[in-house]
Amino acid sequence: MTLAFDPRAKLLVLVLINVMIFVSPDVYTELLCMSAIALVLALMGCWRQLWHGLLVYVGLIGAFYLCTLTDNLFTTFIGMTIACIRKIMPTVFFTSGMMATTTVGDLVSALQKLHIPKVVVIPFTVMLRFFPTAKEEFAAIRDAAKLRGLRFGMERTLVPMMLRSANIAEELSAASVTRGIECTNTRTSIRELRLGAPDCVLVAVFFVLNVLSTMGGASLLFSPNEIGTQVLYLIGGAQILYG
Amino acid sequence: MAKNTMVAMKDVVFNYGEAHASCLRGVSLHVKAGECVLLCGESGCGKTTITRLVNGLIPHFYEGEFSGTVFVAQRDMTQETPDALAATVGSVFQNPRSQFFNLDTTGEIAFGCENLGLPPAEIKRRVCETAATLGIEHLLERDIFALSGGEKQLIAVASAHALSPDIFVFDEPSANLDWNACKELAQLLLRLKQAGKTLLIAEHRLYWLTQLIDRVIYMKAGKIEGNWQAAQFLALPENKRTELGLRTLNPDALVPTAHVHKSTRAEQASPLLRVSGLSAHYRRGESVLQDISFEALPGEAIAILGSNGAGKTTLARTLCGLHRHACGEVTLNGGRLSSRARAGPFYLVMQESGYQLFADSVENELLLSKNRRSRPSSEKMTTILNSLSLADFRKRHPMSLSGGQKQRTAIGTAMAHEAEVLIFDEPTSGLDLGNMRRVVAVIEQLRAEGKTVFIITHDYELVLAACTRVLILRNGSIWADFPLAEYNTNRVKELFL
Repeated sequence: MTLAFDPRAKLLVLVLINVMIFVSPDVYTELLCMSAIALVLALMGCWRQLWHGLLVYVGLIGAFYLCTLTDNLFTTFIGMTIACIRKIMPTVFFTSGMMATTTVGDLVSALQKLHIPKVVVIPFTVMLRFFPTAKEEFAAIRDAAKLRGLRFGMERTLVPMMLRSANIAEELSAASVTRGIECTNTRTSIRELRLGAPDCVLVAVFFVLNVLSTMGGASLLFSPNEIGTQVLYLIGGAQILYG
Repeated sequence: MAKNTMVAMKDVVFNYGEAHASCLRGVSLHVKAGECVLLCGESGCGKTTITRLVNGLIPHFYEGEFSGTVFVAQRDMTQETPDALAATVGSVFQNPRSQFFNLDTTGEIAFGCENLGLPPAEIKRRVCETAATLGIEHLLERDIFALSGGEKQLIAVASAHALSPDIFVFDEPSANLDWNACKELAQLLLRLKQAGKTLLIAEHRLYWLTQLIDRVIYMKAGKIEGNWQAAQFLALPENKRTELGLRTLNPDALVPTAHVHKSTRAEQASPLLRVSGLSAHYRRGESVLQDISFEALPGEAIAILGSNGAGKTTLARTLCGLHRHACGEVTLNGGRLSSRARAGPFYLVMQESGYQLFADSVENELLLSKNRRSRPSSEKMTTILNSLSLADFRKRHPMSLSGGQKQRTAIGTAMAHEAEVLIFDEPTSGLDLGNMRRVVAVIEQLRAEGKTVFIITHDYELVLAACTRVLILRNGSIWADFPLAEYNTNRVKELFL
């Protein structure tokens, strides 16, 4: 039994996760966030993405710990790099699950329901559509270079890749014109999107995590006094703002 | 205009501008509703341009100098809005890869209807109806990238059908399909025809359409030069067909024409290439090739045949050392070659040779190599360029060449660096008779120089014209391996027909 969330809810959660990571003060908040995402991925049935993500995350934490054992410039540098990568892991983790459970059509409809203009939505769709193709193209060019014993350099890869991509983009655009992409009507979708109770719960959970993170992180949970102080600050701030 | 006229073109002149040579020079064409018309002619004759006029891509997408009138289903195509165009004409293109927008099949079929803003319930109804009419229910809710080329093309037809247009135009729909997929596509087209749709098909491969067509339009250099009823066309004598540069109409009548060189027989004792116990698997562990062993002589042209997923491409990639997860022994001229050492002596001519060209001119392309010593001398280069009729293009940028010229340039690089074994992957997909014969001539020449040539192909005509031996793969093993001669042509035919 898996849950299907509305793409709009997923997009909103993605934004919330990004904000949360940006303001997140400590690793505990991050862990809390990761656990919440892991739970969501499990609910959506993305087991493969779940295991891969957790494995990478644990690996990064382990590597970071190893770097803290010795103290020299090199390990500090590596450690910082790892910390940066670790920081973006929640976003990557959630996005992997989101992409696995959202069709391009759904995403486009969601963006349209959010009243994002067509000039943004169409290029965005084409971009998403292009990723798998780009991967195939890249592999073919790498093979071709290898066959001739050429090193896989920037110029030798990017130039053919760009020329080929321009070709494919033209064919793709022509095909889409014959299928009415330039049509002026409001676009509809075969799947009707509806925000339901699970979507509300999902957004609420991440919203609460966000508030927690803004207020000072998960460590607050262990010191109730501080929460009180923070709430007082917030109320005070609101009073100043609204006079 | 008569009510039953579907397409009415009058005195159409079109030029893409300076960059393209192909254009239309005064074309008038009438197609009745419910008719199935085949557009044929050599590459660059203007048949694709006609399909673009009918589906409105000219002048709405491709710009150029245009005069004349084009009416489709009583609408003036030059004046229509994109919405009307999409609902009037369904289009299916050559390359399945570049005509999809969605990653799932159902979404793809619904895509056009969604663009037109039909209500969701209506879209669902149309998707179901399309799937039922075309008999492709089993393809719904699938990942498009996991489908075979043939299945992709069926989805392309379905997604055009969901908009319920009265006319369908096809631009070389079979170029990337194998023999079986052609049969499936032909059945689908028959269903469309029975449903009263008008079909306009631009194609090089003709045999699969013979049961379907009502009329044939032959084009040459931007003009209509022939207009036959199907029966008249099918009754054209063979020499007339080849004179027109058209592919075979009757594959049953073909016989093998590549001859085994005498020297090949003489050297029977020392094979150039010996492959033993070659196995390969994917990264996740599924096995693709099991225990492939064979020997090949210099001057042989060996067709590698088999259905989709039989392991043909993996065999080619493994021989060239491109497939990493493989084991087994490959010996060339008596010396054992590790998979790393094989790229070089083995060369793969890819289906899209555009991938294989890295330099800024044809000449530099031939010179380009990782070690300077192996560069060909200027005499040798001239010989190679002449033999591939590329001498006039030596200063041109490879990307500005036609498909056939790119392919020959890729072959040229292999010759310049003395590859011993050349493997061609679908060298004739989407080629007309003239260009196919050119490929055959190049293969012939490589054989005469004592190279061993492998050809992976779905093109029965090419197998009979160029190959001396057939190797059939089934489920990753060699199922049959025999010299191709007139008496056993049936064994190959069975595989295709």
